[in-house]
Amino acid sequence: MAVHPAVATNAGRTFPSAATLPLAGTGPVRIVAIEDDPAYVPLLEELLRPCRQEFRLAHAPASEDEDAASSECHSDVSLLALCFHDVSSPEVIRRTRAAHPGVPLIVLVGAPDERLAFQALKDGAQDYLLKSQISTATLVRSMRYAIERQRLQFVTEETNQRQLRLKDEFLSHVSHELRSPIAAMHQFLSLLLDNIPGELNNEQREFLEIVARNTGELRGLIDDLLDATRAETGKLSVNPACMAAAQLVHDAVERYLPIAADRGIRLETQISSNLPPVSADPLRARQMLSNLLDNACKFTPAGGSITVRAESDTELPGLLHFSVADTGCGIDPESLPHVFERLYQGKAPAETPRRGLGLGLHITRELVTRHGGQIWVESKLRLGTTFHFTLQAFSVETLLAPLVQTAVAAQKKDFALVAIALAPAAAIKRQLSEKLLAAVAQTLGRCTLPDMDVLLPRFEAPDRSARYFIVACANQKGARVLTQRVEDQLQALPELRAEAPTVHVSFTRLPTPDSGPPISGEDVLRSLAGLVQRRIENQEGRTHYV
Amino acid sequence: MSDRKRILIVDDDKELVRGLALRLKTSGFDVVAAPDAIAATSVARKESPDLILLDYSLPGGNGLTVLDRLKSLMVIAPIIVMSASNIADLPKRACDAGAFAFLRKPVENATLLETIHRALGDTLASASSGSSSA
Repeated sequence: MAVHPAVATNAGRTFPSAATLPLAGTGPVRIVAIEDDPAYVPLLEELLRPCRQEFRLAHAPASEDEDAASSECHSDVSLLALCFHDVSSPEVIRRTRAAHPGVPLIVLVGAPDERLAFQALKDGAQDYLLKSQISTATLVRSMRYAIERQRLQFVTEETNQRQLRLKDEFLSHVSHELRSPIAAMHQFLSLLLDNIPGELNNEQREFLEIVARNTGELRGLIDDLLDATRAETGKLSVNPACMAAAQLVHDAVERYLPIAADRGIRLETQISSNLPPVSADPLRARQMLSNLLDNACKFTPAGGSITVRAESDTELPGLLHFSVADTGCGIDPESLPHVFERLYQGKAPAETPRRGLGLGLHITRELVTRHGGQIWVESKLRLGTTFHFTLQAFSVETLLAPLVQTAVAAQKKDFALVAIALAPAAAIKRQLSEKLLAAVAQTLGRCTLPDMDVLLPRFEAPDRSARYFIVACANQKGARVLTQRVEDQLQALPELRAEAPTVHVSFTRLPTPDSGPPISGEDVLRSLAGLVQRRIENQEGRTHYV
Repeated sequence: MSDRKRILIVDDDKELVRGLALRLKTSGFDVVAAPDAIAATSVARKESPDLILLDYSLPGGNGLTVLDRLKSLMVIAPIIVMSASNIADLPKRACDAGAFAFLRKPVENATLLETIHRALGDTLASASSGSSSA
């Protein structure tokens, strides 16, 4: 069954269970009337008097404060009176629905405003009543209808959610079962290709390489299928790290050089010098570029060319701009808006033997979006196509921003920054310290806990070249795990033990700004570095908690 | 006494174990294997391996249960958890439980060998490659 796209974006949101909603006919039904004109309330009370056993009315002002409104009244149905001059009715409806989530909404409109009423239905109201035609009977009918309509909506949503979950579970299971035999094939193929059981002749090698390439392709298809499902259920995650943009491009292009050469396509890169590092998930970023390169290779004829560019965005300094341009057949204007849709299949040239799943560009868009970037395409028929995307330049602030925002938004009291500093013994050469630093950074890299913390790049105190800081940002629980891991890892590394480094761990509560400028990541790090440095000067013990 | 490091492979896929064992032997390791969760602990105690490659889906209990049991038996060998499963938080759970690393099957040989060397304390060899990612 096709799943409505709105459901996909709502994955993870919890809907009240259909069972908790009142059924029409089982009272008493609690009604909240929301409007600015209190004079209307007596009229509603009057209308409901004949059936007051069944309906209980409470009044709430059309409050700006959604939290207060929702906490005050727990209702089964909302009545919202819209003024005919109310141009901001979509906003009023949005606010009302936010204040009373899951409560069916009926709008009451003045006689000449049926257009407004119809719009209200589109904006999320369950029903509407014309003020001029309101009566006990119409009001009661409308409320019962609205409650029932809302209940059915929930049932549909629930069903969709369940189906999406089942599909996810099924695909997870299938992918595991498909991957296991591929793992065995991959293992034995690599043994054969490495001549371990014996020397291969040229033809045997060539045939096995074909098997290996196709095995890899199959594995890629399974991964795509899974990624597309994850995108749908909101589980496609990226872990951005600091990467050199040039390295990212080279890694992806390198793999396509032989493929392009094989098809007689020239593959070139144009990378601006002095690009800032980019904030990207290394595996995912390569996947994005690979998908675009794969696409370009598929649609570019022999003799054509593909150019991968990376440059700073001239308009937005915090962004890096990547593009993959081909001289292929181009995309016709009608298809252009659809290329990023799931399962979209372009009209491949006749000589393309395999059409693929139609997921590559869709996954690429999802990945770019999850990196906080944008993707777009321009194309001219018979001249070629260029895919563009942006990624954020790496900065400590960019990395800290989401954490700071989450912490501030949730007002988490246990949010902490963890700084780990190594103070090598005085006589140790800088060379060795670099290695030591790298080993600790690797340790920390493995320690990084998704959702709980983020590893920041090493921070070198400006006036003390021999001191290094590796800073992680974590909540208190993450910080504890991290500290324990570092301790364990350092114990396990003989080289580090020999060097007897002092490890300093500091917990700093991130100040929540009530006013004034927002927190700057660099500032936090700098003050943190100072803090750690003072500790190092004390040289007491192995670990300190500040 | 041989200075070859000994690796214990815990996996119920016999063919995969055979291939993996051959690969590791060719790379200079001694290999022992256990086909299920129960055998994993007994072989780990008897053979005292230097490193354990532990599959997640095992007959008789999942890999993380085995990992817990090994840790409680004071097995100090680093453990690399491997799985073809795509359970999203498995890598995190494995590392939280004390695994040295998590690798998703199928694993590239280079990645596997690099991780094994790193786990065996060959830090200086890997430090230069790791410094760029720091």
